Amino acid sequence: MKGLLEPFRRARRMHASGVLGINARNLDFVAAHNPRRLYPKVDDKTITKKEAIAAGVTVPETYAVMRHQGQWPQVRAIMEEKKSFVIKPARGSGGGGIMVVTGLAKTGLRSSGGRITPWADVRHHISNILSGMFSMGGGASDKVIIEERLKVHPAFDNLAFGGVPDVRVIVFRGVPVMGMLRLPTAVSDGKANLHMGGVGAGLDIAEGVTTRGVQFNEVIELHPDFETPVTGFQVPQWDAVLEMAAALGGSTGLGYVGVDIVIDAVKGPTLLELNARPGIAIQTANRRGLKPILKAIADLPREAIPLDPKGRAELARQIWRDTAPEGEAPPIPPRSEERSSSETLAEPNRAEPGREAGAA
Amino acid sequence: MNALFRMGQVLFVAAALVVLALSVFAYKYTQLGFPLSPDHEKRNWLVETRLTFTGTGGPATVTSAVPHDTPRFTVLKEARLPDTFGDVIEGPTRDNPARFAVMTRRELAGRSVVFHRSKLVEKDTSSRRRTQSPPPEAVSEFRKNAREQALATDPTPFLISLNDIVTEAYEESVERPGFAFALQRLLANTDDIRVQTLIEGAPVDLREPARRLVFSLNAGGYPARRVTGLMLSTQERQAEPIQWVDFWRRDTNTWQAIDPVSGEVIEDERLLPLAYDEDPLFSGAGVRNLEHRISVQHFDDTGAYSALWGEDRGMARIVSALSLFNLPIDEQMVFRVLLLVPLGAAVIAFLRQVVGLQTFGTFMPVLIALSFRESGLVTGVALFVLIVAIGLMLRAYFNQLKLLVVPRLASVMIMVTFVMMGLSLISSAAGFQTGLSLSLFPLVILTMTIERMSLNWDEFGARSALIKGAGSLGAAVLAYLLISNDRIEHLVFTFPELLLIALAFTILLGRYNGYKLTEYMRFRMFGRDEGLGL
Repeated sequence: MKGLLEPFRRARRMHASGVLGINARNLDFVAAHNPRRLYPKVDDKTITKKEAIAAGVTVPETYAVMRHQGQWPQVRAIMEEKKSFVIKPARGSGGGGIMVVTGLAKTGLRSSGGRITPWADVRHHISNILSGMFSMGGGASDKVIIEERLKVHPAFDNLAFGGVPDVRVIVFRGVPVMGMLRLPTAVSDGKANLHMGGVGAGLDIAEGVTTRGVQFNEVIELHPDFETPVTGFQVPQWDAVLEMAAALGGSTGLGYVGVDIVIDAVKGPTLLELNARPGIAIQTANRRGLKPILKAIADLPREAIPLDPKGRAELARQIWRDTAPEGEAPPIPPRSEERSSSETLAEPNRAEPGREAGAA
Repeated sequence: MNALFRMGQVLFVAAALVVLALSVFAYKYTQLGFPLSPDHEKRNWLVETRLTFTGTGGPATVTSAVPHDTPRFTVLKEARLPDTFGDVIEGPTRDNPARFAVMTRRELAGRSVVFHRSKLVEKDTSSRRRTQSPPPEAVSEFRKNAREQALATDPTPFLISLNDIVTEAYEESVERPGFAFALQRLLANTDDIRVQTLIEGAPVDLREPARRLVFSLNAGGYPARRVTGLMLSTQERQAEPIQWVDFWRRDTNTWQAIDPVSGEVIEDERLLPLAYDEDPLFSGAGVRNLEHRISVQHFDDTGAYSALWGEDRGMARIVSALSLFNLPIDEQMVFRVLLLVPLGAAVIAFLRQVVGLQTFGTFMPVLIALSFRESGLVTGVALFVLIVAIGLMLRAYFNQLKLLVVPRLASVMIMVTFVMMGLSLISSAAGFQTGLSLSLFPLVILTMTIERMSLNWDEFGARSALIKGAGSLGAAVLAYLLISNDRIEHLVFTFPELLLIALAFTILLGRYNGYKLTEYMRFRMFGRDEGLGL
């Protein structure tokens, strides 16, 4: 008899945990707060970058924007000059069509993982992008962006395999809601996207420390390729990351966005892209439902939301703590780093919570 | 707009649609007598004769056989459209039960189309027995006595052959009853010298088996006639006229139909005679390009035709007139299929939004389901899987060729066409009937499915592509099970207003913000009772 009721109990627990389903996301948040006419601002990376630069936000440098096949000779020349760059569709989604180039080879381009792609294949890939194969909404054409390849911050040396990890923050009404660190793996072919096999690590919004890890919807403790712990990792320059998310989330006019930020070794927090339909897998990475936090923010009158990003970031921290589910363990203090400041250790292999030295 | 106001609007619209649908439905059911379930015994038929012809500027006359009362069927009602021709009905006479509509015009120019519609009702068995016509007589110059006299005075080869054949048939039928069958067997054998002589020497043209049999039966004393008519069938919308031979059975006092070529008895209850002996089904004078077509449809809607025949008054007439049964039969068949598409769409919407099934394309599964109607479910699924699998393999080769997107899509479509042709040929050679209609729908759907599945495979791996492919197929199967149901097809066609309920349903579905069933799986970790947190 007990077994019979179990599915209903499970369902009830799920409802109680405040998990946001895709229907609710689309209906109550995306449709309700994201006017369609503003989509190009986030869908088209060329527009996103232009506006970000105007707002003083750090973005990867654009080497070229290619609009039609005829520009290939110039583009190839730029590629040969820069040697290391990223090819991506301007209106791509989910990481599709992105080609990371680490260097030149005699016959073509060398990509992460050491593979050499012959020039002809590179050209074919570019023409695929131009014809809209990877574009959102199945467009008939697209632009190709050749941009700077960001360098992995050394803090991620033992956590990111073959690619650049990024921080995804969901921002609602300009207030950061939930975040996760996405780590590329061998399986994901150096891409950070979860459905391709990347590892998602939930983040404590207040501290920027990872709380748990998931890969393919299953909980994991260790990174599959490095076997380093995924939990208890402190994201460098977290305050700056959180503020950037708050700033961008409020500037586009879209009420419900996902902000993808990369922490470059040299440039620091850099905007990668914005997303008008951020995924809901972030909840499994955090083991928390979005609804309680979204509701807390939705209930706030407009005046209660600070106008400056710093204030909104602080508000986010507060709400995160306030909506913590009962019984949730306090965040694991970050592991000690060789470069950490002089805070003493309480136990072996554990360090006091502290800001990462080396942060800006 | 304000969220609450919008929700209120949605509910109001949905409720209004449902109320409208149910009230029209209730009215049609209770007041007009539209039936809820399809007429499985197929007792009622609509026979529609369509004549097209072009006038030459002078007087014109067009004659067409129209259904008449038979031992099995009663002609309940008939109507002619348009009624701009002076027309009369000729017949029936004492000897000939056929009826002919004769349409005349003093001056006719240009093209005309005339419909004649008859509503036939099958008689129940008791009334069949009561309405027996007086027994016919065998009419022939060569009846036994006359024949023997003629043989005595002037034995022509023709007479000898005829006598021979008829006598042999008699003798056979002493052993085994069935003079007519014996006669037919003998006459069918054109290698027999007697049959050849018969044909050569006859006063009328006996080359055709039907005429030969009728002539000889009458000579043998059995009343017989050649009949041109229809087989009332729900399979074929357009009925091809067929010919057979009727002979009179003294034991049962009824006409018996037999196929003059095979000798088999035609037992089918659905035989409808239209014209007898030498009367043509249709003819014309003073016109060109005379064409004649008969459509047959069984119908179950007892009320719909009252409007057609002008019986109802007021509201009843309006509602009846809006019934789809007033359309020509060909258009009705189109709508029978068309009206099922919205139902399929509602099912797909439900499967995607509430169940969480993943498919390629939003309405491709509905179109796939429609093509399953042609091929049958099992065959259809097998063909779909086979063609998509082959297509994917061939498409994988195209990847190596590195083609541009649009030409590659066109190439895939051409390949799929060949695959479909190949499968059709192979299966018909092996004896299966695949029903692969090379119509537009399956071809385009299969191409798009192969293309999207291939792209998905490349980008997200085999697992993702196969899940979505299986989802598309599953959705198609479920939609098919719904739309292939006889009852549902009848309900939707007789009461199209019920589709408004489907509309209300899809509108409400559009505001569904609950979990998908698959999400209960996806977020199962939230359902575990392990305490929250790590």
